[in-house]
Amino acid sequence: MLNLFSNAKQFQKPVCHITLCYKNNKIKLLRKLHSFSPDKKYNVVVVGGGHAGSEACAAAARMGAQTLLITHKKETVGEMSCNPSFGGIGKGHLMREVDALDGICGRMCDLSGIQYKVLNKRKGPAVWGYRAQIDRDLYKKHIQEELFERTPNLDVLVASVEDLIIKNPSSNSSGQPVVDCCGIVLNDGTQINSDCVVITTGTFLNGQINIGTKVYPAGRIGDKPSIGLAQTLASLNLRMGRLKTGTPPRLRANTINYSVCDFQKGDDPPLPFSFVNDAVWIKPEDQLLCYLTRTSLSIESIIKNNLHVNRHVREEVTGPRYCPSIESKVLRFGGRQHQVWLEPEGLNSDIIYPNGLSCTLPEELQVQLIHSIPGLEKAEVVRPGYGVEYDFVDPRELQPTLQLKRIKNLFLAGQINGTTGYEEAAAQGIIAGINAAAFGLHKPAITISRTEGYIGVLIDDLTTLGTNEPYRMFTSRAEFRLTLRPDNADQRLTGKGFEIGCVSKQRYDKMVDMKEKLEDGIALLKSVSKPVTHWRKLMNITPSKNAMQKRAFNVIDIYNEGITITMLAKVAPELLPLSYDKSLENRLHIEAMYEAAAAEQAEEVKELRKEESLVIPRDIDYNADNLNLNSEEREKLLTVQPQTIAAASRIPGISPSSVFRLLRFVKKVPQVESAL
Amino acid sequence: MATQAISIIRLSGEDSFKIINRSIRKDLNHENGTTLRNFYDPKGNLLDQVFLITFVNPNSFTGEDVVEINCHGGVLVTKRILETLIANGARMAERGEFSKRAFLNQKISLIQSQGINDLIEAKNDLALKISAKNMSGKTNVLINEVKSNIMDVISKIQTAIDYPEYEETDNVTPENIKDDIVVLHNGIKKIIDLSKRASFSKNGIKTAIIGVPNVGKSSLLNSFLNEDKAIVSNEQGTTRDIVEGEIAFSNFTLSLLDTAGIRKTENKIEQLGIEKSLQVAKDADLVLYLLDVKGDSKLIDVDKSKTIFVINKVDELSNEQRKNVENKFKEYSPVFVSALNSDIDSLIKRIEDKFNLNEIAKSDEAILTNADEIAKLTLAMSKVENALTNISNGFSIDLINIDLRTAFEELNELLGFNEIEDEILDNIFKKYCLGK
Repeated sequence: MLNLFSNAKQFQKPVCHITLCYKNNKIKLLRKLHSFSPDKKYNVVVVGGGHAGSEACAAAARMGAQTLLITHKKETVGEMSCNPSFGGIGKGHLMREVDALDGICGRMCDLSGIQYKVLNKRKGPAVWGYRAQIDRDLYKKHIQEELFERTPNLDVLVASVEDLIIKNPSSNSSGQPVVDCCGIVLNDGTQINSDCVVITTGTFLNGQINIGTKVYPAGRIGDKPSIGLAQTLASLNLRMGRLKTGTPPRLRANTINYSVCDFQKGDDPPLPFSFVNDAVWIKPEDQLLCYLTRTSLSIESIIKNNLHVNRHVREEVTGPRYCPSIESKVLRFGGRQHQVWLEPEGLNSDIIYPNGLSCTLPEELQVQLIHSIPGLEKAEVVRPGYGVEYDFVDPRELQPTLQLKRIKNLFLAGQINGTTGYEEAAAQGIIAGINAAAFGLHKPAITISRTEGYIGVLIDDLTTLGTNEPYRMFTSRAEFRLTLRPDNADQRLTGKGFEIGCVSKQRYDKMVDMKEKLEDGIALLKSVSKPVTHWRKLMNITPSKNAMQKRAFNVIDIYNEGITITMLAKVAPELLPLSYDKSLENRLHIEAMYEAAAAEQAEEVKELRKEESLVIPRDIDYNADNLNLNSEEREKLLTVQPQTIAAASRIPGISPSSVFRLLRFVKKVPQVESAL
Repeated sequence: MATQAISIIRLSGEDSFKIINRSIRKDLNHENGTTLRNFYDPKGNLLDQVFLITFVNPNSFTGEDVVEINCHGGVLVTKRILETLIANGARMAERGEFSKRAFLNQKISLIQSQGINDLIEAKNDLALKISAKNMSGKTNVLINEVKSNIMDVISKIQTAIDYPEYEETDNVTPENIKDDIVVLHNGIKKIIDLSKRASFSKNGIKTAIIGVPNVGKSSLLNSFLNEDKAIVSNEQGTTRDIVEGEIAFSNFTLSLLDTAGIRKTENKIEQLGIEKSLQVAKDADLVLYLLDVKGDSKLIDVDKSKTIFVINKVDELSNEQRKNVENKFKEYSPVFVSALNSDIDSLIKRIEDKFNLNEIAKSDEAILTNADEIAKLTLAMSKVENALTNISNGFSIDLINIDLRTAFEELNELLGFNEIEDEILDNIFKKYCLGK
């Protein structure tokens, strides 16, 4: 095998190409960079330009905060380090919510997708998954243009952060050390002051790459890890853990025999991620195909006979169960064929990403394994797969605002908090960015409740329960998933975002306009009522003997039955205006489908919101006698330091009576229920 | 619940008045006050005369609308009233929930809340011990079995939802999981049936005695009452005029329905009596149908599965007559008794056999006797039934999953767990090889 780093350079070719493109923008960029000065006082410094960092700095800047993004390499800002796709189930939900808060990843994906597909179309719209295969280079280009050229208040600095400026050491009521973070220190010793710092260093904290028996310190192939920063965080007594993940080898596109593979087309029409877009950039017919092949049983012996040269698999570090390496699939589920999706990395890219083949065998064995798969017999391995191990901070160290509980003004977002996935990172990034800016601008913080969005579920799960494997979003994690749908993310979050200042007036107006149309539409659909037999007869569908009156709204409450508002309008002309706007028609239909179920959950939602409004003061002393906690409960509460009664009651092992005693310390009992 | 003079059931929450109004004939005014009303079960049968005290928010202990139902203290009556309220939309309060609501609505101070909390805690420990004792090992096994089946169906659905491109769950459609859900339904139903039978031994078998006039209903009743093994308790009225009586035998208790009706029909010789009896029989767990040896072999329509046919006055029959009668009513395999001679052992034996009572008494069978536990299980079953209805109505799989999840949560609570998400995820990753 070649030396890894010379290999890495070779694989970075597309990246070089992009850097060349950027030469055209160089003057602008330089001017931008010139605006940075170490004497300048920033409201927010964001460390790391991945998906969490990009959203964080964009959000902080949108809020009007003076923001500085510090990255190791300007050309890797917005890099998709692993799979060439965005979205999916749960993840697509997160993206819609990030977009509803005026985030950037959804809009950028609408400009750089090469195959758009809504998953789960045959299941209910609450679990539809917006997903797109993305052209890596285009995505990065658009993100960089957005951040470097179209985002006021944002400066960019290429540098390496080694340390934090820490002041005012003291201790909290439970005797734990508490400090303030007032900026960062670069590797050349330069200090940059800021009100707040957001760290989004992904897998770079003490990052280490494993291929076969070889180990390299690195955050991503070809990139240095962050060791100084890891030491700083550890020295601040934060609880840290270690996780691992992996990425598959990359293949040369024109060396694959697609004729033996199944293929998958994009949707026609392709649906955009963003609420502000009516269409995506690409023509439906120009979308690329993905292909599907399956492993043969012969991979089993390759994997099982070579465990002794596969360091990553033997490591006692937890990896993601839902994105497992091919080795762990074989070891845990022997005797079957495993799906391998062959995904294009871009319109002009000659590289294929074999999704499902993440592995860490020595390179020559990876080649052997790949050649045993139908269609890949002659495939050229452009770059071997590898595993990454990295440090993360126990997310229970965080408040729901993503600020650390014991380091004031320091926020963390993304994989550093134990999550996996671009979308999970973006979701945290936007919240950390908004809150860091809010703090600097003396505005109240934003938190999203579990009842309001998947973002709320994600952050509540992390900060209350912690995680022992890379955390990924699933629809099943959201107990109110019938109301937290991709279609209504704007109605749930855009108003809240506008209020705090991270959403543009234009987007807000668009949301309000839709809100009014939806309300009027629902009222209209509820006002038209006819006997069931009548409806069905008029629409020429399977007759029914049911003579009961049914409102138009309830005639369409079964989505898959195929009755549309347009059909109803033929029978009840007053509904005709609702059928002009297809997006409105569709949204009304979804509202009808979920109304009954949502009403059933409303009581639970109300109760949870009430408990979420009961704030446990930060200075509560869990050792106090009158709390009468047993030692196990005390330890758990000290670890999590729940911010609200709702969070406290979600901690496993805390008895209802202890939660009840915590109520005594609640700051304020709400008099009146806030409007739902 | 122990037997006491008066039981008080307290309803608190926005819907308190709405729920109580479903069980009484004339709606309560939404104001503070006291009222006497008849309380009816969902089928419209009179359960009890109750004294209602109403509190309108915020002037109540919890600060919400509260209705206190003072009913007669019999375990059976209290239990049925509870069941009715639950069927009408109430749920059992969680431990300490009333105090919690009172605190949240600023009805009690911190110091008060502390005092109440100590009380709750003491009760909790007791309640925990009791419920731990109540739940036998076998019950656990059976409920765990249903739980793991329901978890498998949920895992299948959630895998299909969260991994739509995974081939193994490609064909998970509402129609295709229907059979799995029917199995679940039967599993839960089995536990409920067993529990009901067990509760027969504890709380009484609702029994109706029917038959044409003069066939010996009254004498059968008398011989039950005179049975030396039987302890008769009467809740109202005089001994001779039992409206609803419980007779406890060694392995079971018969709770006699409308025995007054029997006496009345015995006195007034009229056909009306039969119709009245039929009405009572509908609500019964057990029907003792006295056959008229001289009458027609064609009988009135009763649910045979819960009926024991009885021929009384066997002492009046010669051997030959008895043979003829046996032949005539062969298809009903009747029990012969002589109520007059207090010869009813064969009937007692038949009742024990029918309800498996001996076995239950001996074995550690799956049984829940606590009303709250049975309510949870019943709710789980109704959610599973709901899922089945929604499947036939064409609902999408994410909506169907919600009902299954609720059923799963109820079972989990019954078993004393509350962390469900990790458990389901663990199951998914154990069963399916997921991830691209």
